[in-house]
Amino acid sequence: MLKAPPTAAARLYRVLEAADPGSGLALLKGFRAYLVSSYRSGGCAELWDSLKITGSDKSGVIKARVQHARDDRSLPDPVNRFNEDFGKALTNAGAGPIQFREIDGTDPGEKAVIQEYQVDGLEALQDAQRQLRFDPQGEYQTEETRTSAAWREEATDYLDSVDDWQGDPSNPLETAHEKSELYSALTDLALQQDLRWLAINKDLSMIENCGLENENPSAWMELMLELQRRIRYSGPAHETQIATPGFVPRLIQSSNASVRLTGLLSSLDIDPFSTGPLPK
Amino acid sequence: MPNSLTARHLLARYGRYIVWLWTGWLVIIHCASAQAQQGTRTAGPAAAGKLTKPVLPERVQAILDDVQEVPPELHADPLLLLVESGEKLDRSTKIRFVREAAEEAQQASAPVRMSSAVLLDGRDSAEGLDSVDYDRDLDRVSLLARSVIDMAALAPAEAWKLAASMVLPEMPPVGCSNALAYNPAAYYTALQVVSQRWKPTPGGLKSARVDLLAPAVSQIETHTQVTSALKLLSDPGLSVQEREALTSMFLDALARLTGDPRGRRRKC
Repeated sequence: MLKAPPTAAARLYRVLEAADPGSGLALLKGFRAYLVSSYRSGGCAELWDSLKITGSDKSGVIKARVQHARDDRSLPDPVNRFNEDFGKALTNAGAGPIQFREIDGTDPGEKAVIQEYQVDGLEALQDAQRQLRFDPQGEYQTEETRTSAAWREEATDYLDSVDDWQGDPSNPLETAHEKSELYSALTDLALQQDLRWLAINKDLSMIENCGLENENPSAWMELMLELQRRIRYSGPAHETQIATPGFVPRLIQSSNASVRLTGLLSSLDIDPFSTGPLPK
Repeated sequence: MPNSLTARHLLARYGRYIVWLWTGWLVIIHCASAQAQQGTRTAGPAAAGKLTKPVLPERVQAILDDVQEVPPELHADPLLLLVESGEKLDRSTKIRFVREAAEEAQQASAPVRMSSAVLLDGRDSAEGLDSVDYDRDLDRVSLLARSVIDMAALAPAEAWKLAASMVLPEMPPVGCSNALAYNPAAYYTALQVVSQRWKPTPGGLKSARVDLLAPAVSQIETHTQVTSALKLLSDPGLSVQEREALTSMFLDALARLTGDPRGRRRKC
């Protein structure tokens, strides 16, 4: 079984002890007091729960699980880890491992509220998208079907419907993301280059004109880069290039300066996904 | 009048040659002048640029022009990307770009990155989308931290000053209903990079590095800073005395850290 890498606290303790034996004791005691205080004062429900918590209402489940942990008198993972890392040193220091009774204080707080997207009209478009992807038997549409005139007509109608969809005018960011995903579904499915380009161009036009770059630059940039990401090959490094001819020139010719900038950076082979000193 | 006679004699004898020579001379001067003027027209801006700013490749110049039209975040990011990408630019240009990016970073609308404190299902929720958007590192702290790190490779003394001027924004506690917690890790990364490049100078302050790092380990408002501070303190480049002094400040701050329920991590 692989051993978990040392925690940041354990690493600092080791460095202190290596330089001057006994100098890590203050850290040990201070960090122990910090953990006890943190857990004793409750924290949020997820702090006690190591399982995945998703958007639907699971507060009852979480409460039960937290209660179970408390009934069971089991310690939360970080406290367990701390006890494992420093058990011997804690005993030698006369402090001992953290016991459940030390942290059994205030009840944990509520869990995070996750607002899942639900926009009027989205479901119908997603159904239309499914029909383009799957046949009535639930099988993937064949290449032959996806190059037929009938499929093409259906796909064009689908793109027009996405164009017309207003989404939630009070939430332009959410609407823009949903629209972008709807367009991109066709970018993935279309085998004919002109149809694929039509979907890409509509997506790009929406990003160019949504005005989000002033309101929320990070969100806008994510939309823009997501489009770029989608139309790149995900093969070996030498194949990683813009797959659709004319995409970068189209960006550079944009009337939107922010779009032009992404095109100019692409033309210099600057990849914002892998460039930069901060971990991505 | 022998002189006049001599001159008239010479003029009569060699006059045509003198006229040719004079005309030729005028033609040469005229052509040289025209050539010089034409040269100024074509190479003029480039020559003038050499005195002030080097001439940039066309696309880099286009980027420099376009960033003037966009919001501060989208202004700073391409300049930093140009420096970070290894694009062939001279050092002074890179320094100019990083300075400009650092100035723009101060105007970024999001003060600090927020990261998901609970597991989220991608982009299917407002919180998931926010978290993904923050990953672009276009907040004030992340852009400034990138500027400091980029500057450290170009002008360490200037990077030190820039790092010393970085201040974390106020991070009031977020409640448990919020799925995102503050994530100022980039601030700590930048300080660590600058600290690692520090060399004591004769006559310089011995406590310079402690002074630089002290705010990062002593002004802790959110639990998410704890792991970053621990990593900073573990840096092998610190002297024993520096580490002990900074660890002591950190433990004082840790004892004072209360509230901020959402910031508490399940790992530290």
